[in-house]
Amino acid sequence: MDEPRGGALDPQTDVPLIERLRRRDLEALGELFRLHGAAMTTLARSLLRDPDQADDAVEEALLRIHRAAPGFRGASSLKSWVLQIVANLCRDQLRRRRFDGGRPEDLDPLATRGLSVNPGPEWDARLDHEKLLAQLERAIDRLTEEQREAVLLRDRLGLTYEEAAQAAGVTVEVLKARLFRGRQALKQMLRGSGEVEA
Amino acid sequence: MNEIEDQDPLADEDRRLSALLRGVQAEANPAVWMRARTRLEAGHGAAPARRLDGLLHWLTRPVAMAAAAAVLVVSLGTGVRILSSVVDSPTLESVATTDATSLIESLLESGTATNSTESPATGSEGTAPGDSGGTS
Repeated sequence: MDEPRGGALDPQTDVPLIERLRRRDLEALGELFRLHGAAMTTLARSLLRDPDQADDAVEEALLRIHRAAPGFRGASSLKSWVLQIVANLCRDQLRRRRFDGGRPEDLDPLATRGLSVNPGPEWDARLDHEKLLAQLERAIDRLTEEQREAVLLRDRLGLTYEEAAQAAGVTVEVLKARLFRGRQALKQMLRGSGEVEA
Repeated sequence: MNEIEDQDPLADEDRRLSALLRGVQAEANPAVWMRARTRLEAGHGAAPARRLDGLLHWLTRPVAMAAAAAVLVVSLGTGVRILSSVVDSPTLESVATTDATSLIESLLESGTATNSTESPATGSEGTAPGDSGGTS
């Protein structure tokens, strides 16, 4: 009963930090960046696929957080609110970029996007992870914008369904549907390349 | 149940996919925070919000609302007055007709007066006054 819901404010860390952010305390903003900066950067770089533009988006997000903090009512967790701001900025930037020719397929998508490999305990040692992750990154690129966002928020950043839905600005049901379709498409693409089944 | 779940190839595939997706991360770039902090200290972040706040605050003040209402009443009154004066005043056409009629009348009057004084003096009509009738 007392356990906080997935998308709710954490009374231990979120509430005192929000109080300080509301007073436009710059040190509090620095603390927020220390807590959530990696997630903000991972999301921006995964969505924008350009480390410089992603860092600009994170910088802009920090300014917006500073401006908007007094009006933040705490309806969602601080992390999902912060990631929602980053996702919105990335979406705007992708929309502006729509008519660009785009980049040629990256030889090493992780390196060019400023992303790094962080091996988990459950990784299969028999697989060529470098090749597989490059393949996966290209497969993520081929998802729709909504599916990509859902997969990144839930699977890459490890948010709960509620937090991911809040960050994406949709209901949990919509997020689950996008996530399901996104995962199906990823598995199909990877199966096609004969990598995930090894 | 658990055994079945463990052997489910689709669940296994999902787990592997999730593990791979979670295995890619990025570090926060400290330079980003430094740049943001510099901008905030220079007043970049708060300025537009403060300006907007100020405008909204001014617009919701009772004095401002009363002033706006007064301006509305004055402009409505002026508009009505202008409209009514336009309706009451004679039109351009009627002014022109009246002027023309009075001009013709005065010309006719003066013409009658001239004819009555000049006719006996000239004597012969249709002859140019300065015509000598020829030199030969």
